[in-house]
Order: sequence, then structure tokens, then C-alpha cells
Amino acid sequence: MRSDGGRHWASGAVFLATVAFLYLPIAVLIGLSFNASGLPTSWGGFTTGWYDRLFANDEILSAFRNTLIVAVCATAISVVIGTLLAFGLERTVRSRALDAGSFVPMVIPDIVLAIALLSFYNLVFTQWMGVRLGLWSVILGHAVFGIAFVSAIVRTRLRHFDDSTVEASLDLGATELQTFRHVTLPQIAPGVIAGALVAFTLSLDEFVIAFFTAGTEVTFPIQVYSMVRFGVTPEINAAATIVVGFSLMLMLVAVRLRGQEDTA
Amino acid sequence: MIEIDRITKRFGAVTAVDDVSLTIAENEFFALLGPSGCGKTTLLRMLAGFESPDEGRLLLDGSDLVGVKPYRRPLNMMFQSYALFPHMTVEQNVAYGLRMEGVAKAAARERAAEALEQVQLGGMGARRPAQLSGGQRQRVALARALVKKPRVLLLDEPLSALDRQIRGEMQIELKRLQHQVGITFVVVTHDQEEAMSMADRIAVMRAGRVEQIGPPDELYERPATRFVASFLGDANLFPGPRPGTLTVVRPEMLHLDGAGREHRHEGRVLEVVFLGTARKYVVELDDGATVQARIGAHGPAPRLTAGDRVTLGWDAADAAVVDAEEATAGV
Repeated sequence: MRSDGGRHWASGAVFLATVAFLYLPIAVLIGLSFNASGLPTSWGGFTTGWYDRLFANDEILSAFRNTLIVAVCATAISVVIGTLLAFGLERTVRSRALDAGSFVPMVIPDIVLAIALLSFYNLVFTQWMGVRLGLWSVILGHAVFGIAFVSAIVRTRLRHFDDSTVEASLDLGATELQTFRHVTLPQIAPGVIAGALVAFTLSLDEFVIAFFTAGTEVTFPIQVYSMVRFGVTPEINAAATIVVGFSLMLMLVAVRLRGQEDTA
Repeated sequence: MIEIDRITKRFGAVTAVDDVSLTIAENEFFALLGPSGCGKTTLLRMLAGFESPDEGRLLLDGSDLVGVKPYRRPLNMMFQSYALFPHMTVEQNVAYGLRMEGVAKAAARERAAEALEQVQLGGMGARRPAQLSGGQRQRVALARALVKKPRVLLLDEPLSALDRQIRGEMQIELKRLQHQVGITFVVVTHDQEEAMSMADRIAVMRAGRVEQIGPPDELYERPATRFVASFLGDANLFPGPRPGTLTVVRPEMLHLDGAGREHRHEGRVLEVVFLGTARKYVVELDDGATVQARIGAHGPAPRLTAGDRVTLGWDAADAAVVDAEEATAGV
């Protein structure tokens, strides 16, 4: 009895400690975004003033807009190419070397990828074609790892996909295109959407690659970085809180989609 | 109606189908029978259009199918895994082929409901495939193919995924449906019992080639090769009339009161197995060979027990002669 109670108490403590470890910093951040004193050390009463200042700050807003543009475009590219890659690797070419290769952008350190992309873009685009780096190069850079994530996620979905449904569709009079639309895509959609959400959230807060390849453009993480160098301002807390809320919303969407799929 | 003309299909170094020719008649229930890897499924998939032959022609009503896309062929296939679309309801599954033909939604729904009625699944249209039993899924697959009113229905191992009990029912049901819709059925199976009970004619395949084509009784009673003899039921093999030949005698053609028969063998009963409708006698002949005789359990035949001496007899008219060679390679 006694040892049982003790174990129960201990596991409860571990649980609480884990939750605190994971979420307390975020809770503190959210709390500070409403702190009128603006200092992390003292509570000066509740205010939404930092949010007003945030929305009046053109630099932050434009950085945020840039980040959204990058995330949307990089996700779109990642979804299309990543899905095609998943089909290729899972159905057409069975190659361990290509398998391993497709995971490289996921596992090599961001800093290495960032330097590689910077040198490559500088050489090909700036030197040879005379195009300056900008948001488009960040988009391409983010698509590099986005494609890897999307293809990895779609591939797990494809392994549970019955190829004979494709043949059945062709047999029943659907063309290849109709078959893809009505039979293949609906069945792999949960994987494609999950991949898109992952690519999108990774792109949203990606700093290193953006920092190296953005040229003179500024994305939200770069903006935050440059502001934090002179101390954390409460505006940044407010902006970060909005980002947290946004990510949470995306996650809920993803969970909901999964739930629908299970009951289907 | 269907003419398979010298079809050959290779996968790399393997010749899956090797110079096969056969014709299938209008409204025939035709079975391609053989062990796994004999090329029967490849042949079916070539008819459906999922594989294209390396050599030869596939004629349907005189026009060549080779190069015609699967969705332009008036043949439909029922897949071994049924291949139902998991994200659609039963009704949407069945209506799918009609919608792709351009049939309006309401009309397609109506015809889908009729087709489901035909396979005794009326009222199940709103369910998802995952909510159905194996037997029901198979009926959906059947309705989905038949609703297109194809010239030919191709069935790939249609009963292999079913429980033994339902299998017997479905054999009868498939036969009934074939009569009802009046189209040609081509079924692929490795189960000789299944093929014999359903098909009008059977092509027995082995290692990419056709060994023999004929009605079930002819294949059973007059096998042309040793392989056909042993693949279709039990066979007793005796030395043949000429060197290099064997005589095939089915267990039910061996008689225990052999005295008056053309060919006689002395032996001793090793074992008696009661099978319900018959008794199986395992007999060791004096020359060392072991044979089986199957005698109706309720006939006048003498009842023997293990250890009894017996004279087995058979008549040449009840036996078939095959080549002893062609050995057991590939079987």
C-alpha cells in the first residue's frame, strides 16, 4: 500500500515537472506580453498596450508578412514536389541510396545547409544570372527541407495505400488524371496535409537559412533576432504570443483532420 | 469472342506467359487454373490492360486489345483484394464507374442501387467498405464491376479471401450471376475444386504454358499430361501400355472386387478412412507401390479393414494414358 502510494505520488510529481519544464517558459512569455511594466522582473499590472505598439510597428509587421509569404510559397512547392518524390521513391525507383539522400536535408545541421545554399545561390543566381537574393531565395531554401519532410510523411501514408484501387479505377473507366483526383489524392490527403502543416510551421520560425539567404529582406525570426540583440522588448513577447496562438491553431486543425480520418 | 493468340510476356529473364493461345466463347464461364507463378494472373492482367504482351495478339470480337488503355476496354475486373475505394461509401464505389462514363448523378445512383440489389446488398449503400464483412465486400466489388455491363468480367482469385463456408455459397452465387447477366466470366484460380465446380471450361497452366484445355469432366477423366492428372484431384499412376507412359486411374475407378476387371493388382489394405459419402482405402500393392481407392460408403462393395488382402481391378476405359516424362520440374 505504502509503496504504491509513494509510486503514485512520484509519478505525479514527474508529470508536473515535465509539464512545467515544457510549458512554463511559454506561459511566462504570454504573461509578460500583458505586463504593463515591460520588465521581466516585476509585474506592473495588466495591459494590451504592447499589442497596440506591435501593430503600429511597421518593421515587425512587414517582417511578419514576409514570413507568411515565404511559408506559403515554400509549403506549396514542398507539397507538390515532396508528394511526387514520395511516389517516385515508394513506387518507381527502389534505391537505398536515394532513400538516404532524401533524408539529408532533414538531418544535416541548418547552418551547413544555409552556407551551402548561400554559396550556391550566390554563384548561380547572383554571379551568373545577376539576380539578387531576396524572399524567393528564402522560399527555395525552405522548400529544400520542406520537400524532405513532406515526402517522408506522404511515404508512410503510401505504404498503407492499396495500389489495386488505382488499377480498379482505371478498369472502371477513369483516366489516369481522374484516378489521381478521385482515388489517389483523397486517400493520401491526410499525409499531404500533415506534411504541409509541418513544412509550414518549420518555415515560419526558420532562422538560420533565412538569415543567410534573404539578402536585404527581413523575415520575422530575423527581425526578432535583431531586436533581441538590444534586449527583449515586450513587443516581441506580444508577437511571440501571437505566433504561439497561430501554431496552436494549426495543430488543432491537424488533430481535427486526424480525428475525422479515424472515424471515416 | 476472346482470342488469345500466341501471347508471350517476359519479366526480365522470367517468361511469365510463354506462347499461349486459347479462345473463350461468348457467355462462357472460363477458368485459368494453375499453381502460383504459372502465369494465369499475368494473362488476366493482360486482358484487363495492366500488362502488355511482348508478343502476340489479344482479340476481343476480332479487334486487337493490345495498346488499348484499361479504361477503354469493355472488360471489368474483380480484384483479389477487392480494391474497394475506402474513402467512398458502398454506393459511391458502385456508381464510380458510371460517373466516369459520364452518367448523370441521379441515374448512376439508381443503377448502383439496382446492382447492389442484384448482389443482395440492397440498403447497404450508405456504409463504408470498412464496415462490411469479407463476403459483403466481395459482393460490392462484384456489383461495381457488373454495373458497367461489361462484355467480359475478369475475376482474380475471387474466393481466396473468403472463409471456407462462404466460399461454397459464393461459387453457386457466381454461377447464378453469370447466367443472370449473360456475359463471359474469366476466372483465375489455383483451387482445382473451385475451377471444376464453376467453370464450363478450364485451361490448366503450368510454367507459363497451357497444359490442357477442356470441360472439367474431360480434364479429370482424360488428363493429357501427368501434371494435369495430379493437379486435378488424386491420381493413381500405373506403368503405361508403352514404355515411357503411365496410366492414370482415379481412386473411384479402382474396384475392390477386381477379379472380373481388365487389370488386376494384388495387395494389402494399409488404412481405411471414412469420408462420409465414401471410404478411402489405402492399399500397398505387392510390388511395393501405394494406391488409393475410393468406394461409395453405402454401396454393395465388400467392407474391408486394415490388414485384409485385396485384389484391386480397373478397366482401360476408365483410365487415361500420359507421358511419364516431363517429370516434376516446376511443379
